[in-house]
Amino acid sequence: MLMSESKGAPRLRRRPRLSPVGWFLVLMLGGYVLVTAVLYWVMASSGQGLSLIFGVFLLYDFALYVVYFWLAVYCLLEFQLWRRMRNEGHLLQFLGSLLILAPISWALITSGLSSASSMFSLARVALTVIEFFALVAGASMALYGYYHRRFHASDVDLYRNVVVRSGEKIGLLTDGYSSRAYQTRYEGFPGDAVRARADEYATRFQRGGFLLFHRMDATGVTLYPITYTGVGGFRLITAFAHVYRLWRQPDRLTWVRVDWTGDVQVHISPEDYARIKRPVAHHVLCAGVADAIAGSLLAYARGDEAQAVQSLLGPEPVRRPEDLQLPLPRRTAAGWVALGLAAILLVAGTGAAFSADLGLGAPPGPSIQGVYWRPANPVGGQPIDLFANLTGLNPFYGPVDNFGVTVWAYYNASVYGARYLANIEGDQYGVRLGSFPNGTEITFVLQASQMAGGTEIYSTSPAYVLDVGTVHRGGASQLSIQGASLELDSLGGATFGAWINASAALETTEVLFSGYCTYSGSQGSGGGGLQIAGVNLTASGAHYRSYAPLLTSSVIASEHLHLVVWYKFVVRDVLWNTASTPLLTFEVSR
Amino acid sequence: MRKPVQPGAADEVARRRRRRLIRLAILAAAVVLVAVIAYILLQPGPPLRLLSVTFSPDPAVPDEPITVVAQAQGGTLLAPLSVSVNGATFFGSGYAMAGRSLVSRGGGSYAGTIGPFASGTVVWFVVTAADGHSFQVADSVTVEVGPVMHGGSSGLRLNSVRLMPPQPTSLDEPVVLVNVTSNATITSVPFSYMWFYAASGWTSSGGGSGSLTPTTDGNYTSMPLLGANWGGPSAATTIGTVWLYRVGAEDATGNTVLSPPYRFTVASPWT
Repeated sequence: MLMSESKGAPRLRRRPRLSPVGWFLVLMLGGYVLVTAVLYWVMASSGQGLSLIFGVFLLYDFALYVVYFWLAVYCLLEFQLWRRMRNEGHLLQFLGSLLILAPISWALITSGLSSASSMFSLARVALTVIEFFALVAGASMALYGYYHRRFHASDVDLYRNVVVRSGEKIGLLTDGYSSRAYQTRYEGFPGDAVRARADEYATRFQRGGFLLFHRMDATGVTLYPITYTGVGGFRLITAFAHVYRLWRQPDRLTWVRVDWTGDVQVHISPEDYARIKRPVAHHVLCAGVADAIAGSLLAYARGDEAQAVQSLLGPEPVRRPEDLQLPLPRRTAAGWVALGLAAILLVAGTGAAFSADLGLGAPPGPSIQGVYWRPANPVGGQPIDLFANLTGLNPFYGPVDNFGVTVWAYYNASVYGARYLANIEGDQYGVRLGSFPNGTEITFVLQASQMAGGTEIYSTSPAYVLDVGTVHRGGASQLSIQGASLELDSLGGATFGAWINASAALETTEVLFSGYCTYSGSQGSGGGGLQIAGVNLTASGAHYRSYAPLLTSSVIASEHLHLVVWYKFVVRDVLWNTASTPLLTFEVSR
Repeated sequence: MRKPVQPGAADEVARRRRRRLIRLAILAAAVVLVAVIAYILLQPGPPLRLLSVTFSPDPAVPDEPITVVAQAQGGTLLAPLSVSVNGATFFGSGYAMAGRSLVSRGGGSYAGTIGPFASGTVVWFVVTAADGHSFQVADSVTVEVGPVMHGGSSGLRLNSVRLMPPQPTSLDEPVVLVNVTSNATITSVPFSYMWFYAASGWTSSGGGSGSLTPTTDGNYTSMPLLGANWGGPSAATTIGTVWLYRVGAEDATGNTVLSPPYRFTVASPWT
């Protein structure tokens, strides 16, 4: 075995470069600082340099996406390495990069949010929290897996495999690379003893970060030393090539075949050979690699683990005893914690993403509750104050956009209109409706709306009716209203009709109406409240009807229309007996 | 050649013990650091106070900005003090002036500029300080930019400025009623107002300007300030909101008169 030390051997620099996740964090945080600094500068310069901030944003986004792509390659490679080696350092790096990348897939799930209110749902908030934890946990796992010396899973460890280390033992020699496998033979090789422990040796050294994988058969064992993937150095082509070779062409990597008879074959990949900066004769290098691997296997077979490790570490003197220790055959706590945490975060994140997409936990939108007026039984001339609580607002959208009351006061008054409710305190709102003469009946509806991501969310209260003083109903004239109807024509006009019967002459016959609509289509989009009005009815026998324009012809022709019309028939006869329908609703939704 | 001394088992045990002690020390230091940071963050700040408000140059120079400097205390690291200036102008250069934040200069000093204003303008500004939970409104400051004619021979005067009702609630629709007389034709009766609200973590403010509408001879009225005419839910109508308003008048001789600032707080409709 070649165990001589070369005086000129380079010192082992353990962690000369950042890991891919380290670069990701540096770029993300550094870019954030840069973007924030530019933003503040733009704000301080009163809006000048806006084009610069857009440029910086674009550059930052572009760089971030490039790094995300790089991380995806890194994730694939680490998966391949872990699949082959079962080394926990690579498992941690694979899980860590997966957790950092997972929010992208969650963003794809939630990108088609159909309901604007779900943009700020409870599920969405949960998803944001999980994304944050996934980033922190992912970065921690990947950095721990990369930097912890025990795992031998950093770029340096991948780079300085047994080939490089063997190359470092060799002094000045001539170059002479050959793609042919080198063959040698060890006389007196204890084949049976080696065969008994070869599989265990290979498995433990894979977990220890020294070997990629192995193949064992009746005549010997083939060992594949770790390989430099290039991903840490941002060499994407090299990384892609290694993903493919790890997956489909392992025989193009470096391998050492040890037969139980003592015959040893060595194949060194061109990439591994090229990484040795000194001119090295191929056969000498192969002999060194054969000595290192076979020596390590022999040491392990006779129970000397430290020597088995030392054989693979090249000429570098090992100063820390723990560097010569192999990991236990069982998975350590770090591995189990990483697996559990990653599984929880991935499942929770995916669940939260789907829940957010479905709008679960989204506030229901404004809700009008606790409606009352003061005084409870007003008489003529008394000012009437109306109060209501408005709850269920989505706090992410700020205060309510609109909270109003549509009022019809009739019989002894003719007041049709809307008034805004003023915020009094907290979620309590109020408005002074005014004072009305005795015998006035008032019907009102409250409606609140909140703009949520470009969509107006409406909430409408039931209709309330209050009497000012005394309003006579159910008198001897047997006044009644039946068969109330509304027909909408293609021009946007409404025909209101009802059968009205009474033994006395009628003094007031009106239909009150209002409502709201939203529409969209090729003609444009929009929405809002309809006019608040009351129109007299025209008699045709006992059938009374009236026509009123509600919408323009272009709005009624819109491809998508949601129209709600409230209407109510109110009549009074000459005996001041009154009758009215409830506030009826006519709805079109297409 | 001297051989390196190999570490013995006792050395290794001691080294592990030392390493464990170092880790524990780092952990303890981190806990102490977190506790200290939490203690600092949760410390109550000094009471919110606006100590002084000054401006320069004094007197103000036409077409040059006015620097407003306020000395204030209050706020904490979690709820930092925010100092703003809101105001309005009368006569020379219109009636509107957007509010803006004053920038901290350290030592409790906050500064910012307003203007520039044309000659003949009267600037009315108010500095406010808020820490997210409460706010304080400083005394109004009136600045004349260049010569402003007042007390002229036309006898322009504001005979009365009344708020009706005098103590409005959220549901009232109060108006400002003004009686103005002059021997010359009255050309304008400008009116400006500002409001300030602070509660449970957020503050809000606003303002507006316009001309009063003449009703009968010498009498003018404002639009309703609160209630249903406000135009929608707003902190302006909430109980506790502080309103400031001011009325001016100008006649055909260029004579001007400006009322002192008036103030009211929105009262509860239930009391």
